[in-house]
Amino acid sequence: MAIFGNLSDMGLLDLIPLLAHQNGRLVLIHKNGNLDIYLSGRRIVCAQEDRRVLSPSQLEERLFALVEQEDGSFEFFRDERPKHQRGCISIPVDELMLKLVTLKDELESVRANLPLPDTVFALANVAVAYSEPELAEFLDRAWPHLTEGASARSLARALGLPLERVRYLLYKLRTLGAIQPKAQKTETTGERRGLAGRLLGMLKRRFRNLSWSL
Amino acid sequence: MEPLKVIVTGPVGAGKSTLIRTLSETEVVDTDAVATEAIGKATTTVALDHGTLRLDGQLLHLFGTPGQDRFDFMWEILSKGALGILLMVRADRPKTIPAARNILDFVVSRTPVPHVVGVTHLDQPRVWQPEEIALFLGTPLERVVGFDPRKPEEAARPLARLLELIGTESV
Repeated sequence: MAIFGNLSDMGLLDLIPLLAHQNGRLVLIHKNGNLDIYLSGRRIVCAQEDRRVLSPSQLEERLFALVEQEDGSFEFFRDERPKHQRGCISIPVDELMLKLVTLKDELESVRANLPLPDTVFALANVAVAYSEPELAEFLDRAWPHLTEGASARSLARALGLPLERVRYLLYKLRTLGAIQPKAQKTETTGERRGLAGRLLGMLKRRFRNLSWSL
Repeated sequence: MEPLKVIVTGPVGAGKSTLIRTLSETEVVDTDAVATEAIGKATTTVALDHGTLRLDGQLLHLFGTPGQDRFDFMWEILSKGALGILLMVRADRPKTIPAARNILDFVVSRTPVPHVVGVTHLDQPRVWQPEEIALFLGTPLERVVGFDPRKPEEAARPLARLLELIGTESV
């Protein structure tokens, strides 16, 4: 018996609990490569992407991207173990699942209000963001980019993070006032100013009942 | 004389098409289609609205953009070289105010064009006041104008404010 399929048919949030009681290697094949996750005793004990060992936070990012994309395929090889212990981790499956579900729920609740992917943000009152470890970690990584001004799309590319995740983190930072849109300098020439004055005069004559109060 | 354009943008249902119809002296070209999502009205703009206003020989083109953020690429293209941008926000629908802020953030960070905010539907029973919307958007109150886009004498008000700000170097 083999466990295999497509993530579009069975999402990761259904698949991982199913395999949590088993020992073996879960292979996730997605558009950016292969992810090997070794499970043992209800824990993830090793994770590799194209044979590179992943840290717990890198694994979390990759899995969250797959939860979001629902794209790719999977296969589970029972009783396979990592070939060596280098880069071993120990993450309880239940804990990881809870985190992924929470992240997904949080994202869903604000998805309609996420900043647009190409809005350019710059640093503002950053101190407020350091009360939340997740935001602080992201801000540290994004700092050089946000100093110059960066969008969710450019940050996702530069940091290797899923776009929706970056939009969510920027949304939180924007809400806290830690970042703000990087305003482009308005180009108003003397000629335009003169023209605006003349047009305003004409507009006032045209709409004689124009009310000026707010 | 150089043709000028003003871009009218904002979330769905803010009154962008109504404003252009009220101000335009020529027949408005619109691209309404039956709404495929529950947006609170039967039809919505899917490409753009266009109308014109002539002020003593100077032709002013008024372009209304679609409200859905999947059309954000159009906001940037249309804004290039514009005299100004009018962001419209509906005072009685708090749900759309964050979307308005997203549009404003995008516009401010991508285009070097002056903007004003027009607040509509202030005649409804429960509304956000212009100063509350200014606070949420993080924009100076002098750039926020309450008005009714159905009434000609009020529809010109945000345009007048925009011209006033440009003329006095306040943008």
